[in-house]
Amino acid sequence: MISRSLQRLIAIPTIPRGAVIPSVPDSSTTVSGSGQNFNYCNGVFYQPANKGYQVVEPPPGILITSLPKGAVTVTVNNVNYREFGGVWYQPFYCGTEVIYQTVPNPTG
Amino acid sequence: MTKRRSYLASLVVTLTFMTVPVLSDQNQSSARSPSELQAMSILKSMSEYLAHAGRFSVTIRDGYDVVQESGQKIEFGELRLVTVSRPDRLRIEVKRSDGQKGLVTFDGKDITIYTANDNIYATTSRQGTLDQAIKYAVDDLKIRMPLALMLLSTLPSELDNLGVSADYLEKTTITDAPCDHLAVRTTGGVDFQVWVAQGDEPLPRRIVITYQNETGQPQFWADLSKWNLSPNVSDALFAFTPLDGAERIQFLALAGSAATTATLKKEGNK
Repeated sequence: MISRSLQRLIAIPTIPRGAVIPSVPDSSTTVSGSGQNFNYCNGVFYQPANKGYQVVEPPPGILITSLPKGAVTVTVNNVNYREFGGVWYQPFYCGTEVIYQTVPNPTG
Repeated sequence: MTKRRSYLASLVVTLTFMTVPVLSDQNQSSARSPSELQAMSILKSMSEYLAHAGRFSVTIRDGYDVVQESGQKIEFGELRLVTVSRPDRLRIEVKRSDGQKGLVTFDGKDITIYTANDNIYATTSRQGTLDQAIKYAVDDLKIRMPLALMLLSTLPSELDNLGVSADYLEKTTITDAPCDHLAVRTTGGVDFQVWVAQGDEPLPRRIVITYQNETGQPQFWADLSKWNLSPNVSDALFAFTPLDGAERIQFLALAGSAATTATLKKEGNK
């Protein structure tokens, strides 16, 4: 996993919140949390909107099986989080696999 | 994208503690053929031999089908080195076909799972017997543990609870030891075949499980080798000592309520 400073250097692009795209990537998956469904692909969460899909901020509690490339580890109050594109994740063991759950920004 | 894991949950459940109506011996005995009587006798010998073993180690090479949405079956596999020391010690080293290496340990006090590739682990306190720890790990922590049933000291009664009926198929010598080949059905839609070594050590050498009620009827198979009924075991073998820099995280099952409200839909479509 690359460091936060390296992420800045290589300037991994993210799609800004609120942007609307005509269709979601073919490799997107459906995830859910807080009673809502989202399309998810590489660290970006989408919901259907007029004329396409809008990039949205996910609520806490969504689980994903792998982190987007470029996610960085940030330690806050002795807890290691992962952050990418303004979305924060906490790793957990779900059975035998490590999965990542969206959490509120722990830096507040 | 190829699915790897969606089938695993059912694999775990059906291999461990599936609860089905129990068929009483009295009802079955009158209708049993000589083939079934022979098979059930061998199955009983195997299960009691395993259940009464104070300790053992075995190497398991297994594979399992993952049925894709297209219907195509893809097999993934793993190598497991299992060491059991009753009443309260377990170590399972895992090397998956994708290269990921892991470890599950129980030392009588803590259950730990470790993923070497990421140097990450989770530990939870759990005092008790190995049987209790295995059931807790599988049922509550959802740790995948194929053939967990085989590790329980209650294996004979667990097989009874599956409502098994069995047939003797053949004696074979193409295995590494001469084996009796049995075909077993359960009342829960899970069939399995087992090759049991002949002689003084009636240990399973090969197991094939078929999930009749799952889409595509996927199979799980396992070759069991290097059985050792008196392995050298020390407390250090079962205790987990994290490496430098290892990251400790929580089990999702033990996390707060926010985690439990979310659902995970792997490989869903847009």
